[in-house]
Amino acid sequence: MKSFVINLLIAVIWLLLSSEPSSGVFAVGFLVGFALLGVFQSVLESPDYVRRVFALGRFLLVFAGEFLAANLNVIRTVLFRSRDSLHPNFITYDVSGLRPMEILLLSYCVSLTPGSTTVKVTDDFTTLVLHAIDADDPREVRARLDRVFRRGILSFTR
Amino acid sequence: MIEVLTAILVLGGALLILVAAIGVLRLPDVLCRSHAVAKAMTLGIFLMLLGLWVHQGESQSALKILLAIFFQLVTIPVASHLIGLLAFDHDLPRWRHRPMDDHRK
Repeated sequence: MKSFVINLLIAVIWLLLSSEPSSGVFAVGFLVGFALLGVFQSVLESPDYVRRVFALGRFLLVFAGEFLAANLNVIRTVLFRSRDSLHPNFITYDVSGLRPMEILLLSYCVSLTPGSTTVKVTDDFTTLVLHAIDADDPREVRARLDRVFRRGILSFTR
Repeated sequence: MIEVLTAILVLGGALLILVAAIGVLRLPDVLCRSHAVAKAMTLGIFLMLLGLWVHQGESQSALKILLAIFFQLVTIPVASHLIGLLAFDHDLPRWRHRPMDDHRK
């Protein structure tokens, strides 16, 4: 987090130094700051900043792919599937051991990805209740969440 | 070229929102309907605003469009979550009303 603030600071200084401020200049400044932080990584307090940023980028790509797949899935479900082929149900998912911020990110991802929406987080932050449109195999739904999102989110929050 | 891209983005967004509307009519219960709205609305509005951005080019309004995209992406899933929470707490009628699949049991 501290490294990110430094990175942002470098970008703002870069912007103020330029003769024609624009969003492109800001992006360049951010990249320069990122490169500097990468070079001086070993002296700074948070030595895994670069790794985390790359993990975040990878996660965003995976998320974008899932989001597009979710939309194709919705189009197929809405236009071509009959009511009788739907087997919706509530499914619980174990989130004990995650921090509240990570649960928030996970619930957000669940809402925007194929076949599931978040319904409830229990008061003790240990269980996420979600609604799946094809709930015949809840184990598969949980395994997919584990595989795609839990690992991706943990790779950049920790 | 830019006009074609704009047209594709805006029309694609509009079609997705149409799909969301059809989904609200066609799907059997509250929760299934919120599936269609959460996903198709988010991408639909995202594409339409992106089309507007491409059309305007780099200008003063670009930042406002970015902010609008950001707030849409953040708020629509929250709305869908709240609808789901309401349906869950009040135990509204569901399609194939089966007991919840609970991993704790």
